[in-house]
Amino acid sequence: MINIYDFLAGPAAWGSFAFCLVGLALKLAYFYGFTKGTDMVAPNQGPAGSGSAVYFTRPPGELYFRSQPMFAAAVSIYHACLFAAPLFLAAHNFLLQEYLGISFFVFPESVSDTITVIFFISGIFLILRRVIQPKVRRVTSARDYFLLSVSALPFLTGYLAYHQIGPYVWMLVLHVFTAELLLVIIPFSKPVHACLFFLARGFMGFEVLARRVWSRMGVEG
Amino acid sequence: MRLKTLISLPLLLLVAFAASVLAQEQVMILRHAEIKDHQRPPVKFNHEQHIGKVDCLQCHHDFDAYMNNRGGEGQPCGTCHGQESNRDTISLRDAFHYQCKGCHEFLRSQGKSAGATTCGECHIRQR
Ligand code: HEC
Ligand code: HEC
Ligand code: HEC
Ligand code: HEC
Repeated sequence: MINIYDFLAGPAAWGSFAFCLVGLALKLAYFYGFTKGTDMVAPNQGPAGSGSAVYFTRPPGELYFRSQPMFAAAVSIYHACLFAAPLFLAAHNFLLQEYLGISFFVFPESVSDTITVIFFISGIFLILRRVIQPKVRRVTSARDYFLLSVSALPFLTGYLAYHQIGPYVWMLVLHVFTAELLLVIIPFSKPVHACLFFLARGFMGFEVLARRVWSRMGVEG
Repeated sequence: MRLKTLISLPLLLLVAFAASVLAQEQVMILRHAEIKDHQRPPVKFNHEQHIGKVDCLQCHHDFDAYMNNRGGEGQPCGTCHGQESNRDTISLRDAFHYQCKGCHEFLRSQGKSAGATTCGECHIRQR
């Protein structure tokens, strides 16, 4: 059992990180070629894109923050926790320090624990929204629930392992396995928006700067 | 007078015996005051069991200027390793993690049986 853990936390971890990065690179390359002949989203990138990306994530800015404040808050909190919890977790950084000699800033473990609980709450909100709101339910398929669950599983198993609820080493095995599962499917499913989001925004930056479509459309920047 | 000594002498011996037994207690509870604000449960460490398996100098060290280990058995790790790493020594936390985990991992990579390598196998929650 501990040998399974050793394999998952060792070679399999490097493998799935590499797989994720290579997958994302391939996806970008594919997207570049794919849009080159059509709408030029990938080739046409403007520097205002980074500003546009920030603008999108900043609360008062984007339209949906005003029209759907609850949803916008849940999505923002969900994404913030999605990154903050694993990246600044003490245990992850201790291992990173051991393996690579580097580490990020580290939260006290009680803070990471709270962030994880907030992640669950925002995730449940997002799921309920898909179940309850008819206009969202109509565009929801099993795949959406699957992806939400897959992204929640590493958090759930990590939470249980940290609190040593259930068989500990098995929980760790599940934790590492589900996290690697997530890494592997990222490039080929909806979570790829982690990458393509910036392309979309960069394209808008290009539109604004080079073609000024927004001002022609009468939208204030 | 004589009766009192007669009673107190064995009592004294008993206390002394109990104290020495406690001092050499097989299982140490590692929870060092040098580490402020413990976040994890303390670690149980079976000194006796380890002595039977590995040499004292694998764990206890007192390096001289030429990095020779002059022994120094029994010196608490905290006399030299502190809350934070500094120019001379790694932090007490790292000292334990690198030494304990390092050996266990090494032994396991050699196919031998060894102790804990995951957080919760050492920092066991009491309930
Ligand atoms: C696997 C590592 C390891 C080995 C092997 C080991 N020790 Fe220790 N020893 C420790 C640790 C850890 C402590 C606790 C130090 C502390 O509290 O800072 C300790 C503490 C001690 C103490 C202090 C006990 C106390 O109650 O304060 C003595 C004395 C000691 N060791 C002697 C020895 C001798 C002699 C040997 C060899 C026969 C030996 N040790 C082998 C790790 C080891
Ligand atoms: C007398 C002071 C002293 C005591 C006591 C001491 N250390 Fe160290 N330790 C040092 C010094 C100095 C170094 C740095 C050696 C170097 O530069 O590599 C060191 C290095 C280490 C390292 C780094 C790896 C290595 O072997 O180079 C570990 C791990 C470690 N100590 C663990 C412990 C543990 C565990 C204890 C208690 C059982 C302990 N130390 C007790 C002084 C001490
Ligand atoms: C030099 C090697 C070495 C070092 C250093 C070492 N250990 Fe061990 N540890 C072992 C070996 C060997 C075993 C026995 C494995 C067995 O018998 O199955 C063991 C077993 C254990 C076990 C499991 C005990 C059990 O009953 O199964 C624990 C817990 C443990 N060690 C904790 C520690 C801690 C804490 C430290 C640091 C203070 C430490 N070890 C340092 C070699 C080491
Ligand atoms: C081989 C046993 C072992 C393993 C595995 C281990 N630790 Fe420790 N850890 C220790 C010991 C021993 C100490 C020193 C405790 C003391 O004396 O206060 C310690 C100290 C700490 C401390 C500082 C003291 C505190 O409670 O805040 C933290 C934090 C910690 N460990 C977290 C972790 C995490 C996270 C992991 C997994 C990535 C881990 N440890 C794995 C043995 C271990």
